[in-house]
Amino acid sequence: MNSLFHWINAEAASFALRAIFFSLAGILLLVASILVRREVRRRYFDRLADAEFYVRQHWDEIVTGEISREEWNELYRDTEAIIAQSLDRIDVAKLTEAEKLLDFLRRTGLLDRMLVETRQLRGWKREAALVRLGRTRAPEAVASLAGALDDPNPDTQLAAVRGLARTGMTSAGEAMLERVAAGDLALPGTSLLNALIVCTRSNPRMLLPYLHMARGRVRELLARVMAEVASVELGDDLLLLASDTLPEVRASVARALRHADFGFAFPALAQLATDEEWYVRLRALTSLGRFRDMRALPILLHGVCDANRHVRQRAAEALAHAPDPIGVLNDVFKTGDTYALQAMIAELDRTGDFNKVMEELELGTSRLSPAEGQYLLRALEAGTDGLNTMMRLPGTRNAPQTV
Amino acid sequence: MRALLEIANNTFFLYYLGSNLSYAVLLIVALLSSRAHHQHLASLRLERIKASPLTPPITLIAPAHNEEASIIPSVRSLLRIDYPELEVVVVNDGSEDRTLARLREEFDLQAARLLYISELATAPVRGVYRSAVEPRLIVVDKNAGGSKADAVNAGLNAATSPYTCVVDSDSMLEPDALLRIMVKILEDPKHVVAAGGIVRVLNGCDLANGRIRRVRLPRNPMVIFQVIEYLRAFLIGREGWASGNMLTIISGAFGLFRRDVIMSVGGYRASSIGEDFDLVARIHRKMLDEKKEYRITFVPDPVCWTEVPPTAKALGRQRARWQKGLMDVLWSNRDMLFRRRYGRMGAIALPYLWIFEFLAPVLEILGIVTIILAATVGALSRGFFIEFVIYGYLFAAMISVGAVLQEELTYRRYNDWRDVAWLVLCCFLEQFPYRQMHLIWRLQGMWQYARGDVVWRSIERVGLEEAAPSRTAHL
Repeated sequence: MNSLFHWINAEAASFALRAIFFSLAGILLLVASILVRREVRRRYFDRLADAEFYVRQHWDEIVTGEISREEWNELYRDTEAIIAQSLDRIDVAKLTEAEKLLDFLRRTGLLDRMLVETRQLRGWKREAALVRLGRTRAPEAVASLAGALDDPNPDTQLAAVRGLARTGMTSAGEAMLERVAAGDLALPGTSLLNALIVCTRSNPRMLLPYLHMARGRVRELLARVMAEVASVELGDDLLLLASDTLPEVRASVARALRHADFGFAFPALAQLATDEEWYVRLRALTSLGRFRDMRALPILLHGVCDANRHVRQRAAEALAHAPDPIGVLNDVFKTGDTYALQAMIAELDRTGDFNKVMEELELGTSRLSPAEGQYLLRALEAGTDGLNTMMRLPGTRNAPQTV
Repeated sequence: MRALLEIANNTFFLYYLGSNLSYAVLLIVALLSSRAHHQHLASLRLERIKASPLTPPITLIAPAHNEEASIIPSVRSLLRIDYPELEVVVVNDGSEDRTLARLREEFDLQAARLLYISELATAPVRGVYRSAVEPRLIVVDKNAGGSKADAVNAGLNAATSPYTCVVDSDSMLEPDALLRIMVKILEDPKHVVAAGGIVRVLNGCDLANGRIRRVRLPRNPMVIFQVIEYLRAFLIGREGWASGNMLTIISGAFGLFRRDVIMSVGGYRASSIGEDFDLVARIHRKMLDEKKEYRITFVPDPVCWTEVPPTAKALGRQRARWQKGLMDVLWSNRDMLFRRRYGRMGAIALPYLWIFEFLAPVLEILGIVTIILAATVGALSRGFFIEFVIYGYLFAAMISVGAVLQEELTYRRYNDWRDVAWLVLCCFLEQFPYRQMHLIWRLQGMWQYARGDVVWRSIERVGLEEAAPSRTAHL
């Protein structure tokens, strides 16, 4: 220990001097960095602003190619501004206008330049270039972007996925699906999911062969995509998937069936409403609720007594829109489940119908018999403790605090 | 005596060296990490997150206790946040002023018969209200629970979204803050269980209708020093620690958590003094106990603006409370130290906090006293003493300037040249006597904790609309 302290004492003096020097140099370096950074940014943005102003003023001539060759050559140095504006306009343009802008990018060679950049640039600049290329929605961009999916760097893959998502094309979807199914593309997070959703939405059938082949996580991923894009066009395939082993797939079917005819969807949705996974039940009840069909009432009443509060709430949401809310409320009351009744009351309150229900019960204008109506009214006025007594509930669950 | 002083000096010298080294490492890691994040943002468009069907709903929980001065602009700013599915739960924690009345007047609150299940125990709830004009707004009125944690727990009970974001009701989130904080979560929703955003100083900014019109640096040096402290703490400290998944605190003013994770650890601990710090520590513990892969992350670009104490008295009380919170958490998690199960948390992050945060006021003050004593009695050469003081001063200033550079390289909220010049200048001025005062406040906190004085003392707020009266007056 002593030798250590001796060493420190001996070295400390020279160390302190050196440390002062390095700290001072560090401060100067940091302050200089701040100054340089500000100046560089100022110049860059001034130039960009000038270029953007000029481009905006001469936009029509630029796009139609009416400006002279000399002017264009002069302008070509400000391609960043031109590309940025073209892409901003493509983002919000209708199809024909977007086609015109894309044609302009092709004719001027700017699209080629963007394609080259996705191959030549490295690191984050390449990633930005990939996303930028996707924004053009050019069919020829898909091959370049798909090529970048094979890059070993996950950040590049992610940027390529984002770029492909921006194209929104089914060919982009195919490119991603092939790699996902082969296990070559496995990115964490929602970017890949989002991209697949966007690119397969117009043709969900393209997912089916991959979904049938896939196993494990890939199947889970594709099922989630299916959950978002599945439509009635899938027809009988959809019903087959309703008994899939993967809950994600069953949930996707439950979600997709909301767009089908009630007669076609009901048997499958009724089955899915009693699924062992809560989110499958939730999706099934949500879809059933959208039909506003009285034949779904028993299933929804069963759902409002579910053990999961989200499922109860969704069932209550569907029931609150029934044509006879008082009748439904009475049916819920008869289930003897305070959780269910409170979910129902909360939902009626949220939709602003609770006071109307109370009013009708007080006036006796509901379809219930006077005795039933009075009993329900008293129950609704009784609060939690009163409810527990009136509904003769076993005290197995914690009583919810209602206010 | 001389030998004793020598040993003490050398020990403090080593301590100081270790402290500086860790700051320098954090600065470098933070610069690299935020540069990478910034570059990553270049290829990301927030509108995509907004439009995605996979973006999960968020419940914002804003506990309010006697916040009548700031509650309306604050809630308005929360409702103005740009996020696809948002629910705002304001918890009136037994306010004795007109907090609830002001909310009632402004948002036409109606009693709601909501299903409220006390999954987390709290002080009794008196009522739940929903706004007739803004259906996303829910107000939970409850008896005072004596802590912010109790109020947040009530908000968690009422929350219906899978993610909850706790914000202080005297703070102001930037409109895209939630979209930005979700970036890292959406990149890995399975593993990221919590994310913290940056908290910045609101004092001095131009405000109008609950919005920041222009970011300005305050003129009060006490507040500017806090601006630098916040930059240092968030842009260097949290960024650096989060890179190694060792983030030990997500500010109570702005943090996003997976609701199921908070519920699984029993919510906020009402008896804790630093409830935000305590929650993060318990999440780490639970995840490591269960050997789960997880991440608690920091996102440097979503901003929450908050009012900081403008006077030394108020600041002193705040810092004493923070020190008590730190002690409370470190003490209750002392069994995590150096245990294999707790990995780098137990081996690096917590020991660092014990040595360089918790013990810092004692060691630094002792260091100052002994080094002066040693120089006086001749146990230390006067030349070395002066050199050492200069070095200490310059190194601390360098770290602060580093934080300003970090701000400048990445997020540039202070656009005005004069503001940046002031910030750099204050990096040199804060070293004396502000830092020493800070040490004394923290010592007071330690003393109060040792005496068992753990009472929550609220800090008086000016109110968001009045935070910068001289500037708002002419808007």
